[in-house]
Amino acid sequence: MEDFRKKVQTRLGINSMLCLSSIAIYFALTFLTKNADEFAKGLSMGVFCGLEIVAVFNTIRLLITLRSEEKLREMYIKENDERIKAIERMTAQKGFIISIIGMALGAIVAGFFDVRVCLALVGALFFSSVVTLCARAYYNKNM
Amino acid sequence: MKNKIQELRKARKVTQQELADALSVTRQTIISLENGKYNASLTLAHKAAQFFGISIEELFIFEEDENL
Repeated sequence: MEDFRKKVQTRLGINSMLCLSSIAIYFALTFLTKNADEFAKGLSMGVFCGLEIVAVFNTIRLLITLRSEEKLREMYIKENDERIKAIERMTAQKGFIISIIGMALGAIVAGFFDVRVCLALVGALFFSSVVTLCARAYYNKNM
Repeated sequence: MKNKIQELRKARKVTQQELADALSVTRQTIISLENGKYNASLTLAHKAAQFFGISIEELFIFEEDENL
């Protein structure tokens, strides 16, 4: 349990740092996107706000967890429960296959309307395939 | 894979939550194991067998043609 406590403390540190550096990140984003169009500015600010909300939420949750031995054990069980892990694995596998099929179909359909969208989808499909092949090769070697 | 977890648990008057705590899993995992919806890993099977003081073969009923 001590190892898990250290892991949670590390997570708390990362989330707190993200919360504390929010002002710096905000000004950096404002500076970096000053010449960008409204859509790009809005998108980056939206992602930043979303991340900050998650970081604040996580910081509070982790602080509460670290103060109670019972809550820490509860979290440990939830994170290490083999059925939950199996569900996550299956969800990732099936979700990935469905996404790939959806993207391939989308690329075919987009080909009739807009070549750029089609190429973007083909690019994403190619990237996903390369990542999957690399991950499979890694696990084949190490497992 | 069938198992005798529910039978043994009830015989020993242990609740699902108590068993879950002892095996460091969630109560939902115990429910799924008892219903035969989920097959335990070797580690969990070993822990469960140790908890009941019997062997894995006695706790889990392996059917040969199950994965054919």
